[in-house]
Amino acid sequence: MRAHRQPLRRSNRASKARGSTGTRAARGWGCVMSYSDLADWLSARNEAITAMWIEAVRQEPRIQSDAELSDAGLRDHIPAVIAEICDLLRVKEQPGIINTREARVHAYVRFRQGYRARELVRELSLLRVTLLDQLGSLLMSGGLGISIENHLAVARLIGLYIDEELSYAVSVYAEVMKEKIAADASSAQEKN
Amino acid sequence: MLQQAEFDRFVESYNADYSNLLTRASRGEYTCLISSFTVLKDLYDVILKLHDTLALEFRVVPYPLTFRGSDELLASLGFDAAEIVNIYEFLDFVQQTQGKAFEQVILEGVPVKCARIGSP
Repeated sequence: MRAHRQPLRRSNRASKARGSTGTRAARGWGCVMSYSDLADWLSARNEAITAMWIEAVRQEPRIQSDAELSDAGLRDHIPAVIAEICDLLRVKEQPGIINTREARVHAYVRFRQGYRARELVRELSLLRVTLLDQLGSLLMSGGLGISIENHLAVARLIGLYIDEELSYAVSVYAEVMKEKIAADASSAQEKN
Repeated sequence: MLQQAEFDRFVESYNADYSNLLTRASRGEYTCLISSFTVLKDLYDVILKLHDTLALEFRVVPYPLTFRGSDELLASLGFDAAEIVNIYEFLDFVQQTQGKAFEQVILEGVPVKCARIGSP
């Protein structure tokens, strides 16, 4: 089964601005940074972004479950998550249930580690903010020629990716908990 | 229409297969693992699609299918440090025998012949 591919939306105006020679030529003019370039830029900062995210999680008083984890345990799958986001950018795929595997690993591992659902949500919120802050700083610097259009498209992809993980996490936490509550109720009835 | 109990058994079956394949990798038994993981990937995708489109719940949570490796996940599945090393070596083995990364081989979904260590 192949992953369902949906191209990221680009406006006609931007395409015309790049002209018939495409993104590579336009980048040569210093006008537009391609999604692939953005993926490479994020990928090169994967470790740094992960370190910033770890720091943000450690500083977040609403997350308590990380206290038992070493930095290695906390960071465990975040570099793979960032790498998967970069992969999606390179192939211009919208995040969906099939192509967000590493996100599911992160949610599943946190579930197994005993994280509360709201702590996982907070963790993901911090990851989203960390990634968007990095993109924002790139946009503000203006050095690499990222357009506002590309910035918005990438921000949208990051948002959708995190939402996919949240959706999965809700399923895992809520549905397993529902099953546990039903089992407990059944057990209590049997005792009575 | 697929019933919840059938779906639960389906997920349990997938989990058992996943655990079995990882156990083989953890022992350094890499023969035919690539093609087995390709099939398992399709099974996992079907589980996700069914869960997403039908009124089914994860009463049994499927193990997440990662291609990049996760110490925490593997440890939570009961593998020790030496076994985890063997599983990571399987990823290197795929790179050597297929000339590309494991995730790429699996995602491309191309038919892969069983690769044997030491075979000509």
